[in-house]
Amino acid sequence: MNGKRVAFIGVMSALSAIMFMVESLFPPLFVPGAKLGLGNVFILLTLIYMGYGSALITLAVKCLVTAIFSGFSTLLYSLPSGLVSLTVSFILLNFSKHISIVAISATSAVVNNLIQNLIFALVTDTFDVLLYSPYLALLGVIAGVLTGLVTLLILRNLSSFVIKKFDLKQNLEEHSGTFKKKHV
Amino acid sequence: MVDIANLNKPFKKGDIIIYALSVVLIVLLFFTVGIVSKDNYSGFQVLIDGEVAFIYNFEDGSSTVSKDFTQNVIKESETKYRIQTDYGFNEIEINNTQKTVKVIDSDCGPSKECMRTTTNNGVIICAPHRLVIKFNQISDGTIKIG
Repeated sequence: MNGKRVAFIGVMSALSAIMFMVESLFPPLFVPGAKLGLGNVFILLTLIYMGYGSALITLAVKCLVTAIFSGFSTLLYSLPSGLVSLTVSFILLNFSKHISIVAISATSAVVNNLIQNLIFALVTDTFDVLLYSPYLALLGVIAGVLTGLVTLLILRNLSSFVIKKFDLKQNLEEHSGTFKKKHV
Repeated sequence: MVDIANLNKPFKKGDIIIYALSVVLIVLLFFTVGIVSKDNYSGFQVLIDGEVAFIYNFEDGSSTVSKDFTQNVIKESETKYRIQTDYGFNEIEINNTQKTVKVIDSDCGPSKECMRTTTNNGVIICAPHRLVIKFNQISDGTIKIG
């Protein structure tokens, strides 16, 4: 892992954590705990530009940093749901020829919301909270589409710059299994 | 690895499958867990870690603190109670005429989701403190007392 990559992950983690904390200052959207989730844009960007491993680091840093402010008990909800929804995005990205980034983001948001709801029902043994699940799924689709569109805008406008500045072409090829080195 | 050039469209054919599946999922969830009703409630229960700690009845203003939770439920006034869990506290205020209860203070994170939830949602959740306030309806509805 080179320095530029570390810097990129650092900036993305910071942006993600800041977004999360700014969002938590606003009232929830109709259902408790429901957020737009703009912080996830940066985790998704890390996944696209740097791969699954780097996105996992970004997710972990974001969860830990936000936990300092919102209490460490929230890690119980944020880490597992983040892990699963990130993995879902990672799997779906392999089908990016047929599925747009907007739909990937929507799926990921729905999965994230439902898993948090389920974890809460399980740890507190209160299955009444599952009453929220249809609303959380619906809001997940809406929030996921919106954050997906934001991701799309960033991808369109920033990709050529990021690829050039961060030597991403090489990284991309390494990850695709070709391991071609253009320059030593 | 992802080919970034593939990701520059807001919609692709495969999306239809994703959105169709989402609609099916949402409809299924609505049918399985039911729809939150906004009817009047006859009372509410406070659950800590899934166990009933406190019961309140709006009709006659009576309240019961469960045996194991006498340390956790602190009565501050006729309408104010402080619920202390291992993870933090929530202060609730009961309005008997409007038959509502709301969380007025909590030492959780900055978002304080519980304080923004109204009774109309059927359940008030404080995820960090593993606290749930659920309502029981007068009429036979989707939410029943456990």
